[in-house]
Amino acid sequence: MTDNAIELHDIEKSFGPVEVLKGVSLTVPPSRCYGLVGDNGAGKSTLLKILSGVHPRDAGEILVEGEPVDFNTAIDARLAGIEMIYQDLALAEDLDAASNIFLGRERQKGRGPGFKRLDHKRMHAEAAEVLESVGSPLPTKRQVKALSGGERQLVAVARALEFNPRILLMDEPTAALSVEKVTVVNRLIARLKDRGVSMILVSHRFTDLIQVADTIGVLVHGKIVDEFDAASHSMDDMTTRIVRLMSEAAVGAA
Amino acid sequence: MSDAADRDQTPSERSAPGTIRESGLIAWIRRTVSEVGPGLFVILGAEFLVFWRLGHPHFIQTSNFIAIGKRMAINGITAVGETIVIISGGFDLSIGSIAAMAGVGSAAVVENGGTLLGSILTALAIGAFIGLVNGAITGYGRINPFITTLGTLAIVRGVAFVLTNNRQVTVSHEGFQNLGKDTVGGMPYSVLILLLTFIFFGFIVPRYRFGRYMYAIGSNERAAALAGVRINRWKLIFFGVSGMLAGLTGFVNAFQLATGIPSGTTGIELEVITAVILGGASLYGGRGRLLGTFLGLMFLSTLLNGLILSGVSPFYQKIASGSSLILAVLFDEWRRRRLARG
Repeated sequence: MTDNAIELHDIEKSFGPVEVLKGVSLTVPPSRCYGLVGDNGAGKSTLLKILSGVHPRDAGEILVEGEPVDFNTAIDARLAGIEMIYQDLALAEDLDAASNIFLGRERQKGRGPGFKRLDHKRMHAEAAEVLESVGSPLPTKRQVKALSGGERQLVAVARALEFNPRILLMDEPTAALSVEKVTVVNRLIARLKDRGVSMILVSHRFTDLIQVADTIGVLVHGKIVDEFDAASHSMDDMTTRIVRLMSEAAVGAA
Repeated sequence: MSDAADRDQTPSERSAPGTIRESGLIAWIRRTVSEVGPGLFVILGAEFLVFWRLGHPHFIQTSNFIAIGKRMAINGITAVGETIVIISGGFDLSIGSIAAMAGVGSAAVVENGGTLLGSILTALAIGAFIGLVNGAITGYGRINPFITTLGTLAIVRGVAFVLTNNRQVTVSHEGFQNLGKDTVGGMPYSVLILLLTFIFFGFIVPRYRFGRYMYAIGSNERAAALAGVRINRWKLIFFGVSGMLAGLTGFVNAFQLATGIPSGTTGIELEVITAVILGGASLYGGRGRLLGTFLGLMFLSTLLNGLILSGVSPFYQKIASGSSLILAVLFDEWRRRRLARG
């Protein structure tokens, strides 16, 4: 049997007396996209931060391709093949697209200290290639601040892909896009799956998520209260189901 | 990619004005004018026109341009470092104090039997050391660079006063004095050092990670850190370079006057920062050009010279430089908003 891309078993996390995650378990098979829906404060960002190595977990187990992993820093998570794309995309807006994609890993030519110069040609060529592979070609010499929301998203994804991740975490991936551009994210996710990348998308905009994810999990007060296969349910079905769970949670909290 | 959504957006249609598309000289000029801000070019042009038509006939003369260049050298060398620090999102107020300290130090070395080489190395080392301290406090200590360098501005000046008891160090060393008098093909050493400093860093910035990270850290420090750029190490380098160039300025100032003056170069940081901002750099970091700083310096240095030649009281220089700073930035801000709307 092939290992799952990532498995979480009973992840718990508290900040002082506040229990944020009360035993979260989920499984993402290879080349699949898991959509985690939840309101503000449900624990979505905490879970992402644990998976990207920002926060340590209190209890539970994380398996990446069947291997138990332990993260103390964001670098550990990166080495385990997990890349995180933040909601604000964390791009240097004054730099062009290629410079952002290769930030921190600039391609250089020449040898020896003082002789290693930036290889602009190679970076632009490789940037164009990776951008082409995930979406539409866009001018790699354009400053990021002159790009549209969707194009910025592509740049952020292209940068993450340069680390060759097996799992991509995306926080509110559709927040930067207008509703009709959700198709852009859809197309992107399909291409990422083709490359063998698994994804966990996290959002409170469940109407977007149910259009793009294979599996939907509903996170309420630190627990996954419902989980279902997106392909075997109609949109209306899923919407009613999620809305009911989330409004119950809101009533319960009040 | 061959779907319709991609085909209907060819690269040429997607290029907005002011962005990099064509290559070559014209594109470079267009990009430079856009990044530096046309406001500076307008006031610089107006300045030359006014002084040339209404000022003294001596204004357009090689000897006068050399005089302007010598004045520019003091602020200009250290302005290269200030530009680097400001683009990387920092700020360096301590350059005037560093220059004074380094000037005194380099004068003291030759006066106590040291060589010219020892003198210049002392100035550079003093500057680099204080710069590294600035960088360490700002980076590892996470203190706002404004506060850090406001502190070192006072400390370094104080140390210079204590060590000299506020006495000037007059230099009798002939080689040192000659640096202030001799020329290379008609060009004073100070101007030569100024030009070499600009050319050197103008060469480095687009070609090395030094320049890439300077813009990246200034543009979005968190993004650079997430990408694995070692922020604190680079801050150390940027502030170190700024300090070292302030030290070089101190050395140049000392040989031009054949004296190390502990109270010298007071307040030059304000004029230097004015030049950097006039040159299109953003105080928020991420934006700026060395060429812009050079033009900003040229404007400020010409201003005083032109006013004096035109028989206007030099007191007006401060009023004129302050007003032009505000006007140039206002003009560029207005233009940016208009472009963003259009």
